[in-house]
Amino acid sequence: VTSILDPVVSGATSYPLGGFRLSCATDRDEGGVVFLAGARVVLMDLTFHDRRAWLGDQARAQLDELLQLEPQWDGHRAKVISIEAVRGAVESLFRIADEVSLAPQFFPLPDGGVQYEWHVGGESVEVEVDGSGVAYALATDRDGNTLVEGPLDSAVFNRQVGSLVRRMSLRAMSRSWPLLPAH
Amino acid sequence: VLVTSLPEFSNPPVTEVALGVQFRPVPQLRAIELATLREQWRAELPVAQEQPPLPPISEGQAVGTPPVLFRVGPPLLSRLWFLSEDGSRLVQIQLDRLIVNWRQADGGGIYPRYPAIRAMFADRASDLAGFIAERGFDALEITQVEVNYINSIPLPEDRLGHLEDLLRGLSLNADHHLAPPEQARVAMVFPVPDLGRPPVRLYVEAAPASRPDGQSAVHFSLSVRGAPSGGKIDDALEFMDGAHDHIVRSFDKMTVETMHTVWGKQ
Repeated sequence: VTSILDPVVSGATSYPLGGFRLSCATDRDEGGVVFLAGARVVLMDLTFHDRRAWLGDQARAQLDELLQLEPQWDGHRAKVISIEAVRGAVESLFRIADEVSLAPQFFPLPDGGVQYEWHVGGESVEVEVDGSGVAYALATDRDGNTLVEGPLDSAVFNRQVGSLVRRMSLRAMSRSWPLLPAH
Repeated sequence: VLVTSLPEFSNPPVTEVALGVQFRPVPQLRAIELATLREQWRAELPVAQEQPPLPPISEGQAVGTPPVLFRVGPPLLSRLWFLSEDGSRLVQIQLDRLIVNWRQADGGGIYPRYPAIRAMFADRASDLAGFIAERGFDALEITQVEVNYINSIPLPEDRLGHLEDLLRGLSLNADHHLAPPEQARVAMVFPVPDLGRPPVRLYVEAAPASRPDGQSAVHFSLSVRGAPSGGKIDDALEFMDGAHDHIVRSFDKMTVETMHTVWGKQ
């Protein structure tokens, strides 16, 4: 029965919940289990078998550093980054990111929250996650006009923000392809 | 033996099709060499990405034979993806694979039908074979072919344990004292005796999934994999045609008529 239930390793790029695992898997192939070490530990079982596993790695590396910040890291009254904020950041990131998304940059917020951002060609998507884990997105065009704004708590809005991130990522990647012959 | 008349659906729930071949590794097929091919495809497939390589696989003699083989020889450096702007058309290449995918783009996108995807595969395979021949690399010798159809069928979250809503003849233990189940997953493997060189198999799976917009759905996949009758591109295409035939007939036979109405069966 196990062999029947082992999904086919195929060239398709979409998978059911749980994805598939290769029998010759390495740590990398096991998917994107996000493990945040540092002063505290957050375990989030996010199993992906496409490029989002890479995105998970990128997020983990940055959030791990933020989790190690001491209180008053800004020289004033900043709190340590909360576990709730990290969870909120990772969960919201994977609600809007897909397999073509570039990794955003993460920044700490004084209230114990986290902000992550994409900036491409003057356009921006910024997601602020407060200390309690609530995520709020703001996207602006190159003139600073607001494209979308609001909490990342509905499928429709998540999709809107996700489309912008996808578009920006595609644009950035199409410019930076490393195999372009020199002209 | 192929039938000439297949069931047709005007609005099938298919969200991804992947037509792929595995061939004897061409060690020279490295990313740096592929830059020329990329230039040739750039107008249609402007976006490029690197992905981890797929492992070599071969359909085993028995179900349960480990499908993953260990490779002796040069390492697989990476798998390259060439994508259309909206991500709906994808060509994947690595030292021993060529896969062409159609994927439903964000916000929908009409399934272009098998002949169009087949033509896309044939064109890319021909480009690759020509590219290899021009450079005097080892000729393309195809060893495995696979055809994957992925259907994403929206279902309310509280019906994910009711696969009988989709699959014909399914009785999921209705008198179980904890019934109904919260979620259900069904997998089947069929031998395909009339295609390529044995063993060839059809894998069918229905499993809970989540669509990109967060909506709950059943991921219903049908995949045929095995060795073609010969190592040429035409042999692979012949295998794909037969595999497609089996997949369409299986989809029709395995799903309920109420859903056929939704999908516009003609």
